Amino acid sequence: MNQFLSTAFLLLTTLAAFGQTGELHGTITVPSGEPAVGASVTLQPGNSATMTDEAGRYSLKNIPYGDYTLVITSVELVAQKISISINQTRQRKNILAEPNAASQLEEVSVVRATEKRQMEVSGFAVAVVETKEASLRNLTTNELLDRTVGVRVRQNGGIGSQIEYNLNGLSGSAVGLFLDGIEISTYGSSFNLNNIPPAMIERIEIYKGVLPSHLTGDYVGGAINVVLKKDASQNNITLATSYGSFNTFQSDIGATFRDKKSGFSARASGFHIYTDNSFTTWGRSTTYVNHLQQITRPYRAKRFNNTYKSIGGRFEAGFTDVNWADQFFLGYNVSDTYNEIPHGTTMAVPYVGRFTEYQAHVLSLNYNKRDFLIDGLALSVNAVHSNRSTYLQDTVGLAYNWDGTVREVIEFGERVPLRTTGGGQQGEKTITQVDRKITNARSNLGYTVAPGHRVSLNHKFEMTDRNDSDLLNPINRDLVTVSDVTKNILSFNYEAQTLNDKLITNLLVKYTANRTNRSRPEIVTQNGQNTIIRRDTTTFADNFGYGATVSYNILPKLFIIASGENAYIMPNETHLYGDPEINILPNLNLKPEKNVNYNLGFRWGAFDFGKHKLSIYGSAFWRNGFDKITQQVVDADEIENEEDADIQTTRYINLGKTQARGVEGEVVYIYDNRLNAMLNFSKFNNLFKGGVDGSGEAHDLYNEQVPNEPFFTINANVQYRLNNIFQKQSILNLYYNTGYVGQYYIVWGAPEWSETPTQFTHDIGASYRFPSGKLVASLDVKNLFNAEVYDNFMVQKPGRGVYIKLNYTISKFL
Amino acid sequence: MRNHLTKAMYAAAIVAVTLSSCSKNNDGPDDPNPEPPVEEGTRWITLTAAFPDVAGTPGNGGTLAYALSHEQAIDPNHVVRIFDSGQGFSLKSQRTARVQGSADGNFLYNIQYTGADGGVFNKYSVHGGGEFEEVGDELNTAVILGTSPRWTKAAEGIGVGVSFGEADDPYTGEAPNFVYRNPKGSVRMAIINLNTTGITNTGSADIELGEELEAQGYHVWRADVPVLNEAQDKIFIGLGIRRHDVNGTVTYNNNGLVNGWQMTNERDLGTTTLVVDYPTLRNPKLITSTVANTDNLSYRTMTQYVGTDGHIYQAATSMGSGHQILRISSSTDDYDDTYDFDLNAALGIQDAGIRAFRYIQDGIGVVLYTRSTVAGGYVALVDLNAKTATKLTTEQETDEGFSGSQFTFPQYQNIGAHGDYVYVPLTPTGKDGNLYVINWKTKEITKGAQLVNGTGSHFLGAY
Repeated sequence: MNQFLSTAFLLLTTLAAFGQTGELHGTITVPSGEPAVGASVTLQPGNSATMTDEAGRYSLKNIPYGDYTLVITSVELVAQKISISINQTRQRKNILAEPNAASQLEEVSVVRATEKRQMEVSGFAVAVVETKEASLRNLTTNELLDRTVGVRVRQNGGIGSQIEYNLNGLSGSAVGLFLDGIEISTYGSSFNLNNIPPAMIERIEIYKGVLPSHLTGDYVGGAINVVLKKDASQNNITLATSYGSFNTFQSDIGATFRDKKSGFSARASGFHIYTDNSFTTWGRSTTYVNHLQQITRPYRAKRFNNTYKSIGGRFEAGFTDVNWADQFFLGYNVSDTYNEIPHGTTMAVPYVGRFTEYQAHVLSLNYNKRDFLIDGLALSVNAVHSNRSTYLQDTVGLAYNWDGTVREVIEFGERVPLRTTGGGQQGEKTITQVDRKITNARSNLGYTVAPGHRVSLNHKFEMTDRNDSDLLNPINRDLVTVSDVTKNILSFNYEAQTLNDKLITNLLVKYTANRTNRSRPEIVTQNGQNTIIRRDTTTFADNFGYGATVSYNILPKLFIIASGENAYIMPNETHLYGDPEINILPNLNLKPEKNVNYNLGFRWGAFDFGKHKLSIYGSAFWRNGFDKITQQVVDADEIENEEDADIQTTRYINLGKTQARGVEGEVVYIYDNRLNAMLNFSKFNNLFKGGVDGSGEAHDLYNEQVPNEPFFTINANVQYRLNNIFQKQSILNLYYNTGYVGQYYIVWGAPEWSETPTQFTHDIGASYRFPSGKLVASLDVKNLFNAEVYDNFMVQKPGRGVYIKLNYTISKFL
Repeated sequence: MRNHLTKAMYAAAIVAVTLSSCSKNNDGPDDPNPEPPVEEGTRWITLTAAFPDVAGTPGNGGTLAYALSHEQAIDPNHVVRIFDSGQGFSLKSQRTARVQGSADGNFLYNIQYTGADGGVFNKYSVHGGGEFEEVGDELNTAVILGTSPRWTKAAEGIGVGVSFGEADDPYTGEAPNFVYRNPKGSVRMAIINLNTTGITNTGSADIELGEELEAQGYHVWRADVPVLNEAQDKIFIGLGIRRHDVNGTVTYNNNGLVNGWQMTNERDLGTTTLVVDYPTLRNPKLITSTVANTDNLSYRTMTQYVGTDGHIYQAATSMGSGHQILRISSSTDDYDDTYDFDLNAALGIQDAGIRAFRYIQDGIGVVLYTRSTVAGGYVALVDLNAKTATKLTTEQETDEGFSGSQFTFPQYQNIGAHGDYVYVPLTPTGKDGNLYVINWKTKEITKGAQLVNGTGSHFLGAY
């Protein structure tokens, strides 16, 4: 409102001062409703000229009354000439410009890819996924990631199921997951890549191997950093809702507002997901067990115990582009998820009534300032405090079949419902709640020493306070072992651009310090009377790691990219102290794991051959892990109670070595800015380099492929754009995507019965942008041929699904 | 259309799988052992062997099977390369399979131990070499017996699985002044018809040691090695017994969850066996020996058998900690405390520990034992009637690769027997060895087929 008043005021004064001249102003937009930014606006004759601002506004002043031609030009737009008579002191002319079909894509991709491109040639092995297009379609963030070169998303079933990310063969805790540079786990299980809609995301950075200093942590396999939308330059609201197979509803809403004068900005976004995940499975893992416990497989059944509901919101307010901050935001993130767990690690037994509820309240602070205090010094701080809880309930004491009926058994000669051992679906009946308070802060101070030479210092602090309660068997807090873990990581980075900016080098040094304070209670009996005393121990461990990256622009458009690192992973609390409840003994002598990683690759292009454009990327990687922290069955000789040996008493030890070597590549081909095709592949050998066996000889499995990890994947997609179909000014995009996963085995020795067969899927989709540019409708068919697809331990994933989505943008309000 | 497409896809998938498996076979090393000819009526001797898990624990990773004829078994020039690609047949199981075999050598039975199908029962027919065929129905025993089940072939054609559980917490009251409570539980049992592959009856038995013993802290923690008596009307189930220190207090984990009560090693209670009616699984009863007080639990092998005389002979040993063989009388279905076979006495040593035991016929049995003062794994032929033992010398018997806690003997599963012969594959962990064939009538031992081993691996049994 203020803005309009001030504009009006300005216009009034202009009017008063110049009498017989007029002023022309207005906005230039493209049919999608988006403003045409940076378009040049020239008035002929006279050649008074201006450029549109970020909201597409222009204004030309002191124009003598008369007839003119207004010329609009921009690389993004079809050049336009408009005749206009200036005969009022204040005249408004809004112009709808037609995007330049030939150059729009190029221009957009250049503009949008700036950051992407810059990162990709910075020397790190990084892939950048942009979500702008995907956010209009029925795609989840995980599906986008799964199509990215070198990334394999391991999902145990449908939406909401447990996920692991495999980057070039490394997965699990070796891969860091970040949200704006902060571990995503801080936000709780209710706000993760399962439910954050692509519409909330600006881009996703996938670092394989060496991590930049703004993502340091105990991760050697790389990291996925989700960068949420930051932009608040325009006032708009976007709404999207989708419905599809398996009773899946997904909606999201986003709004941004900025007051130009004060710099006050606010962003709000929210999402809601509901799905029954009621897909049919028919593969070998789906079984029916009769009263004699005879198994029928494969069996065809529809999932009935897999509802997933999630709702969340993120609210941020602050200031952008003010003199004391480039960005200052305070935020509140709230999320709530209900998730039914349909089975364990495998599909062997379906679960009924086992579910979790997650809740998280997160406060965040985000501050960025270039030229902080002195020129060339930049400060950025991102701090998050969360209060998250996980509730787990499992109290149904009967066993079920995949058709939803209760299993039967002959008990004492009679056919009766089969009760589970322990009264729960997965063992003992359970109701537990885990509350965590996590503080996580990352700050970065960068200084440009001289043009092309920049040093930065990064500090990360993390503190976790965990509180477990067993709601079924309430426990006495006096007996709880209290541990708090504080982790500090300090990293230093020197980036230089030399040889006419052709060579970019990065040197990284990382120092990690962990402190664990642990207070363990002991019951001491004195004079027949029990008392509790506490034994406190503090452990401290630290280490240095280092790495470097190089990017050399050897020929025009050809970059050679290399990186290497030598880093350590600290053992965690369970590794060190064990966990008696699951029979893990302590081992305080554990050393950190050492990892040596190398990447070497190139990026070539985009090369222009008239209407054809081609770019190629290829990379090879070599990862070596030493002193791997592995769970080992404890030698029975060392156990007091000998019989314990066969209930799998284990402890963590430093043992052996792993090695992953492989290549990945990507080819992108664009024809006439209409056809866009991409093909990528990743193939690696994740080999076991185990140490010695019990008698001191090299391990029998030496050099065998690590099981249960896919190691050859191919993805390809094609997009074709058609303009003016059905209606003028409309845009129709057609999509095709295919994925291939080579066969792999789930146990050592690759026996046939453990084979996960080759998987081949096809997805098609279309999106239609209506001429107004405000409404986009899209239709997607996933797994078109209803292929049998699997993941972890032969858990079958959904077959064919059809989804429809509507997106609506209100680009101007207030 | 949809059907056609789906079929086409299936066909393509099958072709792909077939092609890939062909190429894999072709890639394998030259076949040093041509498949033995499959003859009708051959009594196959199936050998099993296990390789290590990732952490290097020997024999914990998975199990392979390979069958040979008696002629091959006794031929010292015959070489078995079970670990070579395309040789040994991989039995379904993520960890070491728990294998039983039929008396005629034609079938193997296995319940998968942990993994994607932990607790699933499979039956295989044996066709020589690495040729095994899965037959009959798979059975899901996981809900009843867990994913790491304890089971045996309790009689020909009858499998019995047992699982102790649902025990009470060993305490009542609040911290820090807990009060001891005996953790009574029950044994869940399942009868598996091995011929028709079905679980034909299940049941559970509450364990009652009696107030006096319970007040002293004695409690059952495991059930194992079920065997059916000659009359096939009773099942005898070995019990693991421990004792809590009733003057102690609770133990608890890091989360403050009380998870037990302090133990004591003092024991004044004999070997105890649970007896239930077959096939009703009713009338649970405990019988206790006055001769021995080591539990009748095996680690991975069967330790009690019905003798030719109808009595049950039971090795009172738990992970090599016992040296006695007890008798349960066929007339009373209770311990015959007048009987005691003492391996130490029979061998004239002091430190034998029985690792595996097989009753052959007419009171003759074979025992694999280790010694607490000397490394190595030893074989003895025992005469349970005469209470004598004959140590049979094998070439590598002093190798510590037999006796280490995770090495060959502690993991041994089965001693094979057919006719006059007993088959004992002996490989120290990680070293090559031989299949020894014993003529139990003549007490002659023959060093037979060569067994090529893998590191961290060992042969586990013959069937």
